[in-house]
Amino acid sequence: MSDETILGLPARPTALAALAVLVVAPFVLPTFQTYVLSEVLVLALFATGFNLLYGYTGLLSFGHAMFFGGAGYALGIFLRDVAPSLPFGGATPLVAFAIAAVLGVLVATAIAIPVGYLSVRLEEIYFAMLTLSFSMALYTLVNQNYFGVTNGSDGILVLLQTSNLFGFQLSLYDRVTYYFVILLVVAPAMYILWRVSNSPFGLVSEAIRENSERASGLGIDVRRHQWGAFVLSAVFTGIAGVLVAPLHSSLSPGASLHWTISAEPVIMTVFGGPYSFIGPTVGALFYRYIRWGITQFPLLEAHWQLVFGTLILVIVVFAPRGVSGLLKWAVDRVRGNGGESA
Amino acid sequence: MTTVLKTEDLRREFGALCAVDDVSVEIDSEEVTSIIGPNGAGKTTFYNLLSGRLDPTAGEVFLRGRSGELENVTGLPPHDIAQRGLSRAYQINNNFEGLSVLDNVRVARVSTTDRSKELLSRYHTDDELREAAEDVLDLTGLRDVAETEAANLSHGDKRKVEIALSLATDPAVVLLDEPTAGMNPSESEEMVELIKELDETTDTTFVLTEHDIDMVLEISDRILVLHRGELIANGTPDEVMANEDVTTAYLGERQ
Repeated sequence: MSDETILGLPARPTALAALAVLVVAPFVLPTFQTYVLSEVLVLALFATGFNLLYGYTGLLSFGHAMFFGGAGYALGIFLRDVAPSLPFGGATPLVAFAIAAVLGVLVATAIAIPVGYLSVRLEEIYFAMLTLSFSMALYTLVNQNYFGVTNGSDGILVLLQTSNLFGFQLSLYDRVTYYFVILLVVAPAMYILWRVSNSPFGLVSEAIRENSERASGLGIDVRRHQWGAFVLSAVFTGIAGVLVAPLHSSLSPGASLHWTISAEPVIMTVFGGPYSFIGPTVGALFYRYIRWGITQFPLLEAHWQLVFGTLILVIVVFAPRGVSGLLKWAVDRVRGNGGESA
Repeated sequence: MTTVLKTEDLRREFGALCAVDDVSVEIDSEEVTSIIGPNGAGKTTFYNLLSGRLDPTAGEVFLRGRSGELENVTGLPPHDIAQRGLSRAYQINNNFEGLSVLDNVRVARVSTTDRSKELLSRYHTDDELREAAEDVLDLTGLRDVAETEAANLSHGDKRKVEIALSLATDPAVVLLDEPTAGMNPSESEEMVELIKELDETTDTTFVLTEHDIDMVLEISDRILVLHRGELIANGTPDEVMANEDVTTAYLGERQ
């Protein structure tokens, strides 16, 4: 990661080209594919936020569902219980969504501050187990309806209404409209993550991943730095969480807070490659489209975990730097950079 | 004479074993000081006490670091002591293997400042940071391998990265732990020259432990001898070589 590149290509033009494709895509794609692409964007942010902690800082969290689902639940409950009584006239649904989204991210942050403080005291598998425990605790509290507002294992509906802005009707729940809401949030969020990963903070994070003892010997307060990375990672995961809840129109403990949700960014990141910024995004893209591809074949669909597991196995064994490592290798070959092995 | 590092009755016990036994020394900024002693003499424990990796059972450590005042640093965590100006290079290669040599040094440059908390500035395009890092690479003879991943360096160059990392924090004192460990004679000679040169060209005070007695005699202004945790000699190379306790410790009792 010594230069600012994406898959071996200059970063800025590559990112702008990708953005242009993303802006045009919903006008070309059928509605369902726009929906799938919306999910890809959210998952990419989820995995990239997660990877700030895993690939960059070297801490494998197995509890990111608590930020993803926690933020989603805060948004959903606000929209259900508070939004209808807000006094913004025709603009109420839009304003309510914005407030709920900010609230959701704040809730994820509020969870991350104490949980991170405690978790970074441990390393490796112990850190993973501790984050898993906190996340399952939240799952259980929500599942048992402990707070009285989460509706237990049935979950809650997250429905966006139509706003009336001076006679102009804006329906956020429209697939294409909501796609652009997601793009409008995910693109700057990814840009900020990119800047963080290329900042002195990001460089020091990598040093901690490589050798935390040496980093502390050079004057880095390692736990404090890890804590900071943990909270930042949770903030971006929370942003992904508030975007996904209205996309799926529902929240439930099983689909939002269960440990299998924490496993998703792990799988996407390992698949795409944790040691580059773009790896988790590539992972999210492949993860979602391979999953879609499998649904096209009923026989494969019946055993989709088996198909998926085999693919991951092949990547992990033959391309330790993930699909993004393979792609970068291919780009380097084509551009004649020689290129190291993937 | 300016004392940069001082211990007072520094003691560390591991159960019944006393690894460092009431050691009181003063390290002068004008001198290169070597700490020698047979295996198990307590050199590494002594370093760990100075750098904060271990807490002493008793006694105190003082450092005249960036502040210019002699401060009591006993019991502070390693990163805090490093912030105050004490840096350490390890006996084993202990760098950031997955990062380039340049990035290794960049990390060290930002680590003792608040820059390590900067989230949105770009380190790639920071010319000041690059120049400062390249100065350190020039000093340590690593300029040619700046873009190489540290994991792929030769053993001799990895040893130099150890020293470059310590120097890049702009420390008052560097503790070198067996800088020529595992080196062939020509690499060792190069390392000795490098340390001498760094001692002359920088304000940093060097303290080293070493097994190679010839090197110690060549490079040191003062030698401290530890034996079973006790400081048994403290003097110039000539004084120490003439000291009977020292020959006894190394060669055993004369029959």
